[in-house]
Amino acid sequence: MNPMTKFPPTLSTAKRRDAFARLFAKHQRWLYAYLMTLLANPVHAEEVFQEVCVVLWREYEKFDLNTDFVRWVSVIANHQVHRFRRQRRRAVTLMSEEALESLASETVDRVTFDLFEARQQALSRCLKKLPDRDRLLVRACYGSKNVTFKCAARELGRPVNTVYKALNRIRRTLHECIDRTLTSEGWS
Amino acid sequence: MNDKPFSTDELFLLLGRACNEALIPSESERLRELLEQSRAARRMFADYMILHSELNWICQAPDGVAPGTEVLDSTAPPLPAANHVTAPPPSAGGLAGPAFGVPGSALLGGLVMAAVLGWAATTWWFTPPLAPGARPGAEAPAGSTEAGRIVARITGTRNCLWDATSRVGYDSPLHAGQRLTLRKGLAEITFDDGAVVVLEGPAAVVVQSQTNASLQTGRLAATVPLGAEGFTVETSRLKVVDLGTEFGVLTDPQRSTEVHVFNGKVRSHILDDAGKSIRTLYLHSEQGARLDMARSEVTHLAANARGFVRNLPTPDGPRRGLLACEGFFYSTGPLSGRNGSFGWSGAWFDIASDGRPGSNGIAAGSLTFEEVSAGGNRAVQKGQRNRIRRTLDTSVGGVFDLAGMVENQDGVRLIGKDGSTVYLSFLQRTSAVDDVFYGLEVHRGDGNANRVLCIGNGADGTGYGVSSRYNGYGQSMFESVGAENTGVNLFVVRFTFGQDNQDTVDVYRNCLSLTDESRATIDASLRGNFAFDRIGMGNFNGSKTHEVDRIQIGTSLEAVTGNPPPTMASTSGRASAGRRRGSSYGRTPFVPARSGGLTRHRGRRKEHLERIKAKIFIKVLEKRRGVCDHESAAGSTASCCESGTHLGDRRVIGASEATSGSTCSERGDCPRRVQGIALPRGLVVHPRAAPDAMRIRKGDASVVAYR
Repeated sequence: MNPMTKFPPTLSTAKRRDAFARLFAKHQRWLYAYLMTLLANPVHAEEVFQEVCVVLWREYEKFDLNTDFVRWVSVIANHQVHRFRRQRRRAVTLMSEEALESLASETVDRVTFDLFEARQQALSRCLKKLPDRDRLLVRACYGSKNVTFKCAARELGRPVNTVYKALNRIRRTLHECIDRTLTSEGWS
Repeated sequence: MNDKPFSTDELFLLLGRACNEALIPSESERLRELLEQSRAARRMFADYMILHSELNWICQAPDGVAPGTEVLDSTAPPLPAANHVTAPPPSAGGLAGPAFGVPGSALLGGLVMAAVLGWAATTWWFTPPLAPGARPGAEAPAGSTEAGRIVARITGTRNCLWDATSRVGYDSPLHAGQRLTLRKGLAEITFDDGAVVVLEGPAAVVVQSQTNASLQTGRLAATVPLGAEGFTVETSRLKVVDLGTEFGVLTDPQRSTEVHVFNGKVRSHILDDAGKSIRTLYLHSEQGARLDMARSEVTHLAANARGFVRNLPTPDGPRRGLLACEGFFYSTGPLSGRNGSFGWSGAWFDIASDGRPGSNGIAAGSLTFEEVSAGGNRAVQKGQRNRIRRTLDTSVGGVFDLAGMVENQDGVRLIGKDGSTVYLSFLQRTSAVDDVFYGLEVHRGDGNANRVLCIGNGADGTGYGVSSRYNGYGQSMFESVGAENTGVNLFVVRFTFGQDNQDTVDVYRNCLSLTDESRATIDASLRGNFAFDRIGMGNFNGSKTHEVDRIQIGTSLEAVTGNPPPTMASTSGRASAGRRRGSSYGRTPFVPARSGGLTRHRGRRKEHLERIKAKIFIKVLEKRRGVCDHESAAGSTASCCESGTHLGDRRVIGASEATSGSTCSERGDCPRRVQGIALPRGLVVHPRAAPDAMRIRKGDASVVAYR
C-alpha cells in the first residue's frame, strides 16, 4: 500500500478506516523509530508512541488519505514530544530545544520512509552477519521487556560493564554495516 | 555555521552509553553540545537511534511477526525481506460489527486500549482482536514491587543459633520486610543487588529490600561490590549509605551506634526521632564514628577493622553441586606433587615432562575470562613433551560416589553411572594457534589409549576441537569447536551418561550465560563411552605454551561456572561477594579525566557526588570572587588572583593557575587556599588538573569540576 495511492473521495467510512489502519500498520515501526530519535529513550518513546496513537485514532477522520501520512504523523508526533518534554522537564535532558528542532526537521526530511525501510532491511542482513554469540547477546539484552541491560547482564551472570561494552561494539558494527550496505545500494 | 567537526569514536561511545542508559551528566552535556553543533552528529545520532529502536522492536516482537526476528532466532533461512507486513485488515468482523461508524467502535476502542495498556501489546495490530497480542512471558515479574518478594538469601552460616521465630537457615530466601534474630554465630546474607552482609550474633536485622537492611541491634559488616553502591544500613538513629565500600555498623539501641569504614567511603545521616536527617557525615577508609544515643553526640574514631567479621571464607569443600575443583591456589613452581582443593584423590603427577624444572608448572596470576577472574594462580605447560594428570576421588563414600555418579567398568571405578549428568568446566589458553598438540584431557587411566576426551588442538592430527581417542581415532572421533584463538576460552563439557555406556558429550565454548544453560549453544557433540576418573593436561610438539585454570566438576552448569571462586584464606574481606566482582574489583582512588569530559566509568557515582560537592564549593568561590588572600602552604598562590579565573562566567579555576603551575607536586604542599578562600579541610587542588577543570583531592577520592 503506497501512501500516495489515490483514494476516491467517496470512500465509505469503513473502507476509509480500513485504509487508515493499513497505513498505520505499515508505519508504526517508523513512528517508533522516529520517536526514539527525538527522545533517545525506549521508555519515553513508548509512552509518547501511545499518546500519538491515541491522537491518530481520534483524528483519523480528518486525515486526507491522499496526502502524506508520514508528514501528518510527524507533526502529531512532534507536538506530543514537546508536550512530553514540557511535562517531564527533568527526565528529558539529552537534547536541547534547538537540537530537537533541527533534528525533527532533518529527520523528517532525511529519514524518509523509504530510507527507513532501506535501513531496516540492511539491519536484518547485517544481523545475520553477526557472530552467533553477539546475536544471542543482542537477543538476550533487547529481548526482554521492561528489563534494563543491567538486569539482562545480571541474568546472564556477566559483569555489567562487559555487557555494556559488548553492546556498544555490536551496535557500532551494525551501524557501520548498515551504512556500508546503504552506500553500496546507492543511498547517499 | 552548523557543522563543527567531531570524533566519530567519541560520538559512538556517547551514543552507546546513551543507549545503555549509562551516561553521566558530563557526558550528556557533551552529547547535547555535539547534537547542537553538528548536523553530521545529529544524522549519526538519528541513524543510531533508529538502530536501537529497531533492535528493540525486532527482539520484542513475538517470533515471525516482525521481519528480522528470525535472524536472531536461528540459522533458519530468513523470511523474504517483506517489510511491508501487510496486515490483514485488523478485523473484518469488527468493521462490520454493530459499533460500525462510531469512532470508539469495538475495533478501534480495542486498538487504542491495547496501545494504552502497554508495550506488551506492541504487536496487537497483527493479532486478532479477540486475542490482543499479550505475551504472558513479557510481563514484568508479578509483584516485583510488592513487599514480601525475595530480596536476599542466607549464603553462609557458621554455628548459627536463630531465634525460633526467624525460621531460617542456610540458603533460606529472605523476603522484603523479614526480620531475622540471630542469637549466636555468624550468618552471611547476600542481597539481590550484590551487597554481602555478615551478621554477628547476637543481632537482629530486618531485610527491607535488596538495597536496604535495618540493624536493630548487634553488629554487621557489609561488603558492597561495584554496581551495588547505594546499599543502605539503617539503625534507629543512623542511616549509612554506601558509596562503594566495605563498612561495619554496630548498634546498641540503649547506648550507642558506630559505623566503621574499612574501604571506600560512606555517607552517614544522623536521624532525629522522626527519622529525619539532621546531620550528614562523610566517612572514608579507616575512619569511624560513634553516635551516643542519649546525647546525640558524634565522636570520630579510627575504624576498627578487627572488631568485625567481614567475610565467611568459602568452605573449601563441595557445595551447591560443585563436587571437585582445582583453582591452582599454589605458589609458583612445579605443579607435580601439589595437592590442594577438593574432589581429588591425590596430587598432580607428571606423566611426561621435557625435563626442565617447572615445565609443568604454576605461574603467577589467574586466567581471566571476560573480566571474571579464576582467582589464585594458573597451570602452565611450557615444555613440548609434557603431560600431567590428577585423579578424581571415585572412592566408596567419596564425593562422586555420594552424588551417585560412580560406576564400575572393567573393575575400575569411574565417574559415569548410567543416567547421571556431569559438568566439567575450565579455562584454557594457548600462546599460538594451530601449533600441534595440546589439550585438557579427560582420562579413564593413564596412557593415550585411555584418553576419553581431549579439548584443544591437534590430537591425532585433528584441528581445534574435541576428540576422544578411547572411542575412535583422529577425525572419526572429532568435532571442531570453531576458530582457535589465543584468548582465554571458557569450556563447559556436559557428560550425559546413557544406558549401556552410550554416552553423549556436549561442549559449550564461551557460553553466553554462566548460570542459565538454556541460553547456551552447543558447539560440539560426541557419542561414545565417556566414563572417566582423572583430568590431565597435555602439550606436545611445536613451541606454544598451554595454560589451564579453574577446573571444576559438578552437577549443573551453574555449579561449575556460577559459583564464586574459592578464595585463599589470606584473601581479606572480599571472599564472598561473588563473581560479578571478579578481578576487576578494585576502586581506583583517583579517576583521571579526559579533556572531552569523558571519564572512566568506574567510580562514576562517587565522582558524581564529588562533583556536586565541588559545585557547592565553587559556588562559595563565586560568591567571594574578588577576595584575595596570599596565604598558601606552598606560598605560591598569589598569582591565582591575577590569573583571572572568571568564575562568574562559569569558568572554573585551573589548578595550574592556582599553584603557578609549579610546586604543587605532592599532596602535602598544595595550596590551602584558592582564590583567597580556604579549602575545606582535607581538600587540595590536584596538580595535574586541566586548565578548565579543577580537581580537588580529599583523602583518596577526587573531585573533578567541569566548566
